[in-house]
Order: sequence, then C-alpha cells, then structure tokens
Amino acid sequence: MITTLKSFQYFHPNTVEEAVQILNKYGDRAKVLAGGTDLIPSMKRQKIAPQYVVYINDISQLKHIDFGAEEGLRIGALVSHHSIASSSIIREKFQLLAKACNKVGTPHVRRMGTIGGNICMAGPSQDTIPALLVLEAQMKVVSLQGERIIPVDEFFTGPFQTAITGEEIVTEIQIPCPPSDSVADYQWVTKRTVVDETLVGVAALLGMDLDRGVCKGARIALGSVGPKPFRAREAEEIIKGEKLESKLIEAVAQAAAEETKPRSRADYRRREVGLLVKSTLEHLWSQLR
Amino acid sequence: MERELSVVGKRLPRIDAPAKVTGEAKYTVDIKLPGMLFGKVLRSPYAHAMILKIDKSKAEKLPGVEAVITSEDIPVKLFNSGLTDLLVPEEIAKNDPRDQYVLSNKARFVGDAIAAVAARDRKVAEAALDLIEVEYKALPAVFDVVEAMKPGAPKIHDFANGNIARHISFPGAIGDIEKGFQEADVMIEETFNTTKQLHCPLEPSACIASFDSIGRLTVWSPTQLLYLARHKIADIFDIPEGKIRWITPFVGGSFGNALTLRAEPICIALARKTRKPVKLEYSSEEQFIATQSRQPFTIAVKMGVKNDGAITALQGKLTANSGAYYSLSGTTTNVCMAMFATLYRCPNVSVEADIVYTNIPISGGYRGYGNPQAMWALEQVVDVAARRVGMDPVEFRLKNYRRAGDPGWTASLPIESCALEECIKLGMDKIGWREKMGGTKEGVKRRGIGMAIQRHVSGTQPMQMTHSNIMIKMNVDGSADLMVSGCEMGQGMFGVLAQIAAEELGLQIGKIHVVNGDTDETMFDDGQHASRTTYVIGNAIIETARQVKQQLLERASKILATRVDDMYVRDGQIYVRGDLENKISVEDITRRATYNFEGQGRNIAGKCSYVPKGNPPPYSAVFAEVEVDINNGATKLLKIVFAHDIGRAINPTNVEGQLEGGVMHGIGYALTEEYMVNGNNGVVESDSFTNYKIPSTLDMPNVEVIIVEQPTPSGPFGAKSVGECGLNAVAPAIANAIYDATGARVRDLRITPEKILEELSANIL
Ligand SMILES: Cc1cc2nc3c(=O)[nH]c(=O)nc-3n(C[C@H](O)[C@H](O)[C@H](O)COP(=O)(O)OP(=O)(O)OC[C@H]3O[C@@H](n4cnc5c(N)ncnc54)[C@H](O)[C@@H]3O)c2cc1C
Repeated sequence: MITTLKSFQYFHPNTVEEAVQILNKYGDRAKVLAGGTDLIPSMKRQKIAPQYVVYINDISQLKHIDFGAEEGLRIGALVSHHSIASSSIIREKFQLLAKACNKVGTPHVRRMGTIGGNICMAGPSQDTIPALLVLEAQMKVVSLQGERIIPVDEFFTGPFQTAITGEEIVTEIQIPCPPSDSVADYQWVTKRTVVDETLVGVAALLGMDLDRGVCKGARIALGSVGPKPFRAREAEEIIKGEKLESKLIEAVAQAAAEETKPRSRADYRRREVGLLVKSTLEHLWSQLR
Repeated sequence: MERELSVVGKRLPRIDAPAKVTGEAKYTVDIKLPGMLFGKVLRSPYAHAMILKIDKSKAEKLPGVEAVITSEDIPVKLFNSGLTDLLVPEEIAKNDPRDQYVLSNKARFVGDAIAAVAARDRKVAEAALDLIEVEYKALPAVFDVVEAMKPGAPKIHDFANGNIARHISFPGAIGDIEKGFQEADVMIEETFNTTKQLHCPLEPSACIASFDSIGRLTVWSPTQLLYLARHKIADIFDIPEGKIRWITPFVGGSFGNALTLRAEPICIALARKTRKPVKLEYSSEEQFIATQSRQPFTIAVKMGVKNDGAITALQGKLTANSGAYYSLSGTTTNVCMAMFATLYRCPNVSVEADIVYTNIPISGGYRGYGNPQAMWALEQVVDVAARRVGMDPVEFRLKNYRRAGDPGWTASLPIESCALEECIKLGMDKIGWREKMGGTKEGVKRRGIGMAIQRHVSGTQPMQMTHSNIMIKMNVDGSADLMVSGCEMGQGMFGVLAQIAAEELGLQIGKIHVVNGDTDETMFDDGQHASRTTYVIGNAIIETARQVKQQLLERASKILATRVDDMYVRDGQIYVRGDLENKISVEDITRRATYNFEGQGRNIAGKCSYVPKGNPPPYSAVFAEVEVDINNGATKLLKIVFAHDIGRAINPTNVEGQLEGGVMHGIGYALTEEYMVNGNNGVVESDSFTNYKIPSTLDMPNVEVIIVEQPTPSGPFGAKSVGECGLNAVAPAIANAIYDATGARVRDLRITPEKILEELSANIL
C-alpha cells in the first residue's frame, strides 16, 4: 500500500572502479540499480529496502556490443533488451538471444531493462537465461579484489539467487561463437496474456554433422519449470549422433518434461515443456535438413 | 416523415478530446489547494481480527502529522457503501444490510481500513502509519461461500447467521416450477462459477475534502453518482446537505467502481478533524484490494425443454460472494436474477439467491452489474439445451427470446422495441455461421464458433426512483450552456449530450458548452449507472431544449411576423418554412432578448425535470470464432462479431468504442483475468497489473461491430443504451465456440487451458 520509497543514500558512479569501491564499503546494505525495472517495483512494495543505492547506468564502459570471430560476442551488462534485439550482429549470429530479449515485457521495459539486470534478478522465468544457457555464456564479474569469470550454469544458485556477492557487479556477458553448422531457437508460452510472465520457456541449439546427416549434439535449456532455468542434460544425451525423427523427438520431449520441477500448475507446465521442446526441435531440424 | 438530422447520427470528434490530449483536463489528483494535507490509510494485515487496542500516540507526535483517526473519532453510524440504496424507499432499502463504518472496529478482510492519518506531506503520512500500534487478535477466517455457510464457520457479522447476509427470492417468479420440470422432454442441469473481476480504471480512487470558514464542505471526487454521494455523506456525517458542494472533475474510467463511496468518507473525516483541506489518493494496490469488484456467483441451473425447443421451466439457485461487506451485493444479485429469468419466454420460473459474507475484499457492481454472471450460466445452458433437442442454438434462441410486447424485467413495463432478429441475421452472415458451425474436427488446432445474446436496460425505470434535471441557458452570442449533473468518465457523455442538445436547439455542435458535475451549478440526477445517460438525460435535454426553442421562436415570430408553428431552427438560423430568405439568427434573438431596451429583457433559458417514461432494452448478439490447440488447451480468439440493437446511434463512433471496450472487458472475464486470494491468510495475490492480467491490444482479436438502428419510440431520436452491453454475453459466446471446436464445456471462469484439457480427457474416457 506504500507508494513512496524508503529513504536511501544514492550514488551514481561513472566508472566500474568507483562503483565497486562504493559496493566494497557498503556490501549487502547496498543495491545496484541498472534499468530499475525490477529493483524499483521491489523497493516500492518494500520487498527490499536498501540503505544505499548505486546507480550504474551512467557507466559508459558497460554499454558495448562487440563481436569477433575468435573471441565471440561480448555484451556490456548495461545493454538494454531493445539494443540487443535490434543489433544486427546478434540477430544474425545469435538470433535466439535477440528473440528472447524481444519477448521481455513491453517496449518501455525493453528500453529500460538491461541484460545484466535480467540475469542478476535471476528469477526462474527470466527470459534471457535459457538462451544464455544453451549459448554457454559466461559472466565477467568485477569487485575491488579483481575480476572473475563465472560460467552461466554456475551463475544461478537458486530462485532469485546468484553466485555474485554484494561487493561485485556483472560487467559483461561473454558468448562464444556457436558451433558451426548449428541452429538455435527460443520458444515460450506465457501465463495468460501476450505480454506476461513466461509460463514455460525452451531454448535449444542443434549442431549438425553434415557428412553423416545426424545431430552432432544438442543443448536444451528450460525456463520457469524449476527453481532456476537449467539444461535438460538427459534429454540432450538422447539426441547425440541421431537423426531427429519424430519418434526420437517424442522421447526427447518426454525426457525433458521429466527433468522439470515446476512449483505451480505443475502438470500443465510439464505437458507444455514436452510440447515446446517438440515444436522447437522440429523447427530446428527442418532448418538443418 | 422522419426529420432530417444535422448533428445526431454524425461521427463527430469527442468534445473533450482537446483537453485530454493537451493535458488540460483536470482529474481529482491534479487539484491542489493551499495548505492541503495528505491522507493515508492503515489497513488490516489480517483477514479477520478483533482490534484490542490502538495506540496512536507515537504517530501523533511525528512532526508534520496533523491528525490520526480511528473508528473512535468518527460518527458511529453504520452505512452501506453502495449508493443506489438511496433510490428505493426506506422500507425496501433497509433489506440491504448497513454494515460498514468509515473506519472499522473489527478487521474483516486484508485491507480493511482501520486508521487514517493526515500529514503535511505524503512521506510523513506514510511514516506515521508505521507508528500506529494496533493490537489485533486474529480470528479464524473464511474465504469460500460454501465453507462460510457451514455450521461453526467463523461469524463475520453478528447479525448474519451462517454468514448469510440476505436471502432473495426473485419477485418475478411465475408458474409452478415442478410442473414445468414434469412437462419437459429434456432436463438440463448444470452448475457454473464466475470470478471476482476487477474494474481496473486508469484512475485509482481519490478525494479532496475542504471545509471553509463557515463550515461549508467542498468535495472533489471521481464518483459516478454525485448527488447520491453527497446525500449519503450528509447522512453519515450529519452535515446539512446544502452545506456540501460536490464536484466531479473528469473521471479516469470507472466501469462501475465509483458506484460506491471509496476514499471519500475517510478523506472527509480527516478534513473534519483537521479543519484543513485533505487529499486522499488510493495507491494502485489499494484500488485493487480496498475498492469493490465484480461479485462472484455460483449458479446452479435447471432447465426443462420440450423436444420442439420450447422452454417449460427455468430454475436458478444462486450463491453470491459478497466479501466482507454488503455494499452493492443486493442490487447486483437482483439484476443477475432478473436477467437470468427474463431473457427467454418460459411459463415456470423460479430464482433464489443467498448473499454470503466471506473475509475477502468487497464485491459490488461492475459494468453489466449481474448480467454477465447470469449470461455466463444461461447462455451456456441454452447452448446445451439446443444441442440436446437437435436445434441450431440460433434457432433455439429465436424461438424462445422475449421480444417487443413481452414483459421485460417487470410485467408492468413491456418490452418497447427489439431488433434482435436483425442483429442475429447480420451477425450470422458476418461470422459465416452456416458454413462454420460444427467446427473443424481434425488436427491439433480446432476451430469453432459460438454465439450468445443479451438484453440490458436503458436506466432503472420502474425498479428505482430516477429523474434528470436539466438547465439550458442561452448566451448573447447564440451559444448555449447545458447544465447537467454527471461525469465524463471516458464514455463520451459530453459529446453525446451536446449532440442531442445541438440537434434539438438547431445549433451547431460548437455552440454547446457542457457545464457538468458540480452540485452548486447543476441539478439533481441519479447519475451514471444502468446505462441510462443517453436515454434518460438525453430525453431530459430534448424537453428542456424545446422550452428554449419556444422562447426563441416566440421572439422571432414578432420580428419575422410569422406564426411560431411556421418556423424552424437549423444551424443557428431561424427560418420561415418555405421561405429561405425570411430568417433571423439565433444570436440576434438572444442578444436582443438580454440587452433589451424595450423593457422586455430576459435571459432565454429552460429548465426541466424529467422522469423517464420507459426503459427500452437494448439487445445484442455476440459471435465468437476460436481456434483451440487440443494439445495444450490454449484458446486463440480469431474474431468477435458484435451486433447491437441501439435504436439510434447518436454518434456511431462512440457506440463502436463503447462496444469494443465492453468486448475487451468480456474477453478478460473469459480468458485472462483471475482474482487470486491466498486461501491460508486472505491476502490478495493479484494486487497489481503484473499478476492480474487484463487483455492488451495484442490479446484482442478482430472485433467487428454492427450497429442496428431501429429507432425506439420513447428514445431521444430513437436511441437506446449501449454502455454496459458490450461485455455481458462475450464470455459465454467464447465458451460456446470452444465447445463447438472441441466438445469441451467449461463451466467455471476463467477459461484456462487446464480446464479445457480436463474436459477433453473426460470426454475421451
Ligand atoms: C512490466 C514488466 C514486465 C517484465 N517482463 C519481463 C519478461 O517478460 N521477461 C523477463 O525476463 N523479465 C521481465 N521483467 C523483469 C525485468 O524488467 C527484466 O528482467 C530486466 O531485464 C531487469 O533489468 P534492469 O536493468 O531493469 O534491472 P534492475 O531492476 O536495475 O536490477 C535487477 C536486479 O539486478 C541487480 N543488478 C542489475 N544490474 C546488475 C549488475 N550489472 N551487476 C550486479 N547486479 C545487478 C540489481 O541490484 C537488482 O537486484 C519485467 C518487468 C516489468 C516491470
């Protein structure tokens, strides 16, 4: 019922160095503010009441989208969903990420919200995470002590929980080039309306052995059907070295559904996982052949 | 011969549009008074609790706080927050419990108002809330009507045994229901459940109250019923009514939400205590939990039908969830019963309802009132019945619907006009009924079509007292001020009333200035409810305009040396019939009347009190086309065709807007909106737009509106109503289409993929 925020001290550093200095001082009493599309509503509803708010959106170092054939894609943590979805290089080479970012909220939310904020929020239904899981991204994390790299599947530790500490910020998302002869896609259904939280999200990447005409391997990630988005490893195993015939796809879909642990609407979500995995794989397989 | 219209029937732009697009339009929250304080309300965190003690001393000491009030600081007068009980005589009104205080002395839902603060700024007011110490003793709570009626259930109000606030037997019951069942060849028995839908107006409730130095109170608030709100406030606070001025600025949408008092009593109590102006704005969350919403019903239907499709008996047993207080539960239930019982011809009808208290937020009236709930049940039962006797559901309806000359809501007022057949015919063609009926029976994506009809009201005659009082005053430049009580809440009232006034006066639309919603300037009107404005106020305006026109013509007749009957006014000119050259402008007349140097001075003006003579019901036929994915149960709405019997469209664009908006509400009711209350603690989980989902434009199918114009005898230029009609029958049309596509019959709102799948798997077994 409260509409105004609890008072806090506000910082707006211009560099990563300044930001981590402030965080080093205040630790868990401080909160990083990027696009604010998650943090501000949470503060208004008094789910959290940080004493210090560190606004990082002025840090121009973190707004880059760089690509090199060797080093892959590097996205600054402060790049907005809109910028990702409209970047030509991402649309060309990492289409599923562009698609996932374009799914997030409304045009306003996509312009305000950042990819760093999306992953740091770390909710089970966050839309960029399944895509980042199948792209095997890693996060560059910086603190006063230095920097470290955290692979995406170690980054999320639980619902709304990540491996970074209160003194650290994510500065960059690093995405290696996808394997050659691979295709990938993200598909989802929402809870009720078109603009709504994701009920089930499925990202999949298929690598092709063109000589043998079979699948070299597959990566499948599921969102919103467990405490955090995760790779459906057992389902992936089934595909290795196989042709994706409809029977096999059924088996993969079944296996993926069995790997889920949905909290609510469990039966329905499971059924939807099976259907979405199936339609995603069918779509990808048709592109490869 | 029908007279040629020059303003009515035209697609004119809204006259409030410039003010709204430039931001000039003032809403209650835009108003600021010098020295104004800000109010805030402390709400109960418990669904049901005794209040043992309230210590407000710490809050009072906070610098900037000017008052902290609890139930002990305000009049000990129970009232009903609904306003329409004022429209029936006390011996009837008193059947509806008065069960609310301005601030509660016992918490009955999470969000019940317990205390309030006025402070010099918002932040201080909020900080003060945290300092009020309330000692609660939590009581067991009950959220479900069935549980609430069981022996031993927690008692929410002392007077209500079994938590039954009121039992109502439909007064229009006829025949012998058992006999009707016996005569039937086919019996249909089905039970339906509806949900607590939220109005979701853009503007949350807000109020400003200010007492002047001689004790006169001015209130600004977005109410739909300003005179009634004033009357009830005068009673609660024991203030002579003439000492209250009530102003309704532009209203940011309401859809029935402001048919009750909302923030006003608490705001006025704070102003009374501090003797300073106070503004109380509800937050969006408060709007979600602390104002009323659509009353949920369980409706058990028994219908008897002959093999030829004649209905022999119709029985409804209704249980309504009133929430923690009674509010508009009685009138909503009455409307639900009447709509249920009188849409079709049937010699044996009986409807009974229990209105039950629970510890959830208050239920009340929402666009359509009880009609959407009634149609959800009835229009599906009719679909079932038609299929059981092997009739096309359209034919079944055409055989049985009550039409012109049949009794309407009450036997005393027969149905004045009805263009349902035309609506159905045009709608069937547009949707492709004959080709598509029966759906596609193969593949994963199944298509189907369904339809439903509805009949609504044009006001409340003769159920409630109703009249409209209008003044029209001419200015010396030949323009007119139209003084009318009411509120422009987005429905387009200003434009429609100005079009009616302009047409009857013979002026151009730009010559009409609408003065509105201020009890110091405009006379009594019962307000914006029951889709009455165009029909009732429109007729009142015509009568007033005729008086004005008579005065204009009398003066013109002297100047033009012609009989009054031989003249007419058009586009601001008074003409002599058959002699276009012999004319004088209205401006000339009005100037010479006011600045009159012959001792005949007069401000040309008219005033009338108008009691509606009828209540011509508008009908609609709604057709829905859906595509259901039988793998995941997802419904895609492909198309809605909505044919409406309007009588006359004063402004067709506005009629389309009302219907499209209504359809959107209906789609939300059917498919997306779900009010979720935590079954353990009574906390409303859907308290924001993030988790209470109304459809957006992206969820809307193609909506085709067909306006059927067959002027009704008693309507202004033949007009009937439209405001509420758009949503009443949308949900059952969609449900019937889903059945057509898949064979899944969903009886409980909202229609979820899970419910469809469940029905499908039951059918296969
Ligand atoms: C209407 C609406 C719709 C939405 N729809 C979707 C949707 O469809 N899909 C979806 O996934 N999300 C959705 N969201 C959630 C949210 O907006 C997005 O996840 C967005 O990407 C969050 O980014 P932000 O920059 O606004 O984060 P912020 O609110 O600024 O921050 C979010 C959290 O991350 C932390 N944080 C931010 N950046 C960093 C950093 N660089 N280093 C360390 N910590 C950091 C903050 O401290 C905070 O805890 C929606 C939100 C709204 C309001």
